[in-house]
Amino acid sequence: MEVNRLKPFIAPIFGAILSLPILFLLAYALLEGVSLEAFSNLNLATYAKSTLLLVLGVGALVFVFGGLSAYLVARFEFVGSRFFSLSLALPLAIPSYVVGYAYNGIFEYAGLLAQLTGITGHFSILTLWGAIVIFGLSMYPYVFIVARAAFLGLSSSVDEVVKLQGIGPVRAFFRAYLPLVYPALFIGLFLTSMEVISDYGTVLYFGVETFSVGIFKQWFGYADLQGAIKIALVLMVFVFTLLLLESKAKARMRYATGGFSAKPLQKQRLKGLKALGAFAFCALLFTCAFVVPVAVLGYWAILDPRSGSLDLGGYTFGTLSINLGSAFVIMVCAFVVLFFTVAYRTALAKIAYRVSLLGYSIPGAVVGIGALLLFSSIDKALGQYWLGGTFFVLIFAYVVRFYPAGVGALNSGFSKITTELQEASKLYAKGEFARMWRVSFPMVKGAFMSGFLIVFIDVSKELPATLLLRPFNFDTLATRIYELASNEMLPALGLPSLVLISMTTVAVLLLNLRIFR
Amino acid sequence: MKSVKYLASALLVGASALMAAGEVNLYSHRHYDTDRELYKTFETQTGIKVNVVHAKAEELLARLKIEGDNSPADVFITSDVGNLYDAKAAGVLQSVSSKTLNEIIPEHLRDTDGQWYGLTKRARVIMYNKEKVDPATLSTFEALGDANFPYKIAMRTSANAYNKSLIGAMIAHHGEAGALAWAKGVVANMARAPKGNDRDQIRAAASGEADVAVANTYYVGRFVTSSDPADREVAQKVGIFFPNQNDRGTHVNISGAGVTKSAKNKENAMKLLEFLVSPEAQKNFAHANFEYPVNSAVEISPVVKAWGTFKEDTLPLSAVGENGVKSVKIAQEAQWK
Repeated sequence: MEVNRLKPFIAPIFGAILSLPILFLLAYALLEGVSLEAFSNLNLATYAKSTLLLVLGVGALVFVFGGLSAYLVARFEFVGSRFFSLSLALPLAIPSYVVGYAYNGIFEYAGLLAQLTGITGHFSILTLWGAIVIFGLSMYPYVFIVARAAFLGLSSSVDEVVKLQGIGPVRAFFRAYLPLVYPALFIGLFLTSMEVISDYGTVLYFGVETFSVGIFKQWFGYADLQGAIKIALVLMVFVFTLLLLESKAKARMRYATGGFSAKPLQKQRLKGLKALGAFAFCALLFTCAFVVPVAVLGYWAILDPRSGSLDLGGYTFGTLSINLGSAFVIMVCAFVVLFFTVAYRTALAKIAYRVSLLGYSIPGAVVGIGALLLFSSIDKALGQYWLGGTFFVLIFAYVVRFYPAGVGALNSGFSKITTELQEASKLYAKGEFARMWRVSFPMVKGAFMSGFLIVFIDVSKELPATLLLRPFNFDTLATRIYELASNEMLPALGLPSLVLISMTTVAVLLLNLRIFR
Repeated sequence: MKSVKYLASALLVGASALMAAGEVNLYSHRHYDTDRELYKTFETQTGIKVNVVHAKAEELLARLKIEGDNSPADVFITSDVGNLYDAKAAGVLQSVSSKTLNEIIPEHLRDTDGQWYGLTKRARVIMYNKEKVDPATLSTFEALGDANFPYKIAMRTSANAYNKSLIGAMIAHHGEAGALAWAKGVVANMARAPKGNDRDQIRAAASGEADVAVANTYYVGRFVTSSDPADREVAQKVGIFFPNQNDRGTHVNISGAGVTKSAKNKENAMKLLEFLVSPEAQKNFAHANFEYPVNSAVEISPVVKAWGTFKEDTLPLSAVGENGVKSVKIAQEAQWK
């Protein structure tokens, strides 16, 4: 009986646990004393402007890159269209900061471009615009993947309408197709924005002063934790606004998908210039976003195989074990919490759900420090050093940070479980556990797998929290790449980057196959 | 095999943490492969296992502060005296004294209370584009802030620890007003808004985007010996100029270490520090990373020797560290990004 009464609170309690690191940060700031006038000295306008420009710029780029390429491969047949359906998702496997290092290696003074062409100048890509292009190239797959699924889901009736109206392909795209897949595109844009906002490595390297950089600068550079937390608070307001917009888009998508029919459309065969144009666009995008960075890394790996290969096996093993483990933990949490959120739709559960999604927008290092504060307090209360510096703390931080990604993926599975189905399942399986395992899980298995892969990819690329929380003598490929980059040994990071990319590429391919099936 | 070894060592670490004997735990901001080799040498010589967590100095310091007496760390190793000073100010280090350390490390490169010790020296200098700049026209750090300074400067952000310490040294020599006027002058003479790391500043000077760059010398050592032809070309284009040779000497920073207040393996920690200033370890530091050894008995690397000898500023580094907060204020007031 006691346990039964707790059930409606399982989801809210979990949401509360996930927000603990942030609450601890706030408490810590309050304990050290808060002065309100300090808000004016925080350069907030600069951070807001850079972040907004970055989000808008990257948004526009990924909209064009991801949206257009998804439209082309989903609706048309041309040389390579099948290949591009799969391969255009691959850049998701490369961390943005690695793409940034690689491109700077090309364009920097006496860099690869200068070596190949003999032209030397001082054209630098380390600007806001450079960062926008790098993010655009490395993040458009977020849009591509969801948009392609949406374009594939459009029914043939849309095309019939287009044909009847006799409108051209360009107008048809904007007037007929785009409005229908717009919600899906928006969700892709939302994911991209979250990634851009929480990024630290790339923006720092490119000298773009986003909120994330501001938090670090205030905290570590100026030793002003209260100031840093204030910037983080402003950032969270920013993100909450985006979250609201996203939930509206989701509601619209449900409405839009209502019109999809079971009879999908035959792909249209492109000929002549149109086929060439479609091929050129996809090929150029794939080359810039994937082939070029990988080629640069390959070149570096050949230049400097010695320091790059040092204990590579150990780093790979460390990366794989922690990433698979935490992805599994995150998905199990997401599954259990969603199950109870769906089963007991209380207002509290809804609030907890929204709050627990915040982690995605908070820079990894902020989550890291929050987790550190939380578990150190527990350790202090216990009078023992039990939790600090263990894998438990690291995995907890990953859960806080990437749980939203897992939930996002799993949610699409749970949206299929209607209230009627729930009621019916109560007859079929007795007890929550049985219903969870025998009814719900089989229904969301596919979404669970997608979520697992997405979280695995995200965790593989994570950097600041891992740096901050990892136990003694524990390194991952990402931390190793960071070390080599911060020692300014770019060629040496070729080999470990390639290993990391191979690992995440497998996950991206599996994800792509899953979603596109 | 590697992974089996890795798993085994992970288990060992877990087991030995319970016994807390025969080991020493480091929080280190230095993460060069050569440092790892040094620790291995120490392990084989003494049988003391070295456990390391690598991260940025500021993050490790935050971790030390938060963990307090519970921290498993015995030694905090980092670059830049500002970080060491901050650690002392935060009360996470303890005073230790050792005849070996005091004999080998010059007085101005260690804390007056024995809370931190310099392990290597890092000279912060002016690097110039050989085609555009006549080194005879360069003189002092002060000149960089001169309204008549004929060159454009590339320099990192003021949040960077090396620049914070450089401003700290300027405050020590010229007072706050003098340092502020200088910082404003430097900002006015900048070729571009500060961005990137030391390596990028040197590149900016090599490419001609700037005429001169302010950076630490060992980066040039890495350019010279790099496997990347692009790096080697940069090294050829820039010259190294040691400023303030006719007065107090060139500003020198350190990477250094302190024993933490919470150290449970203090004895081993002291052994490690003493090992790190031994000729063997110092030679490794100096030759692998092109830094200057604190142990005067050790020769500098041939690459570094080629830049010539110089007179160094012997202003006690604790005085530089003390000025950290003032440096930040001055940089903000001077609108040094």
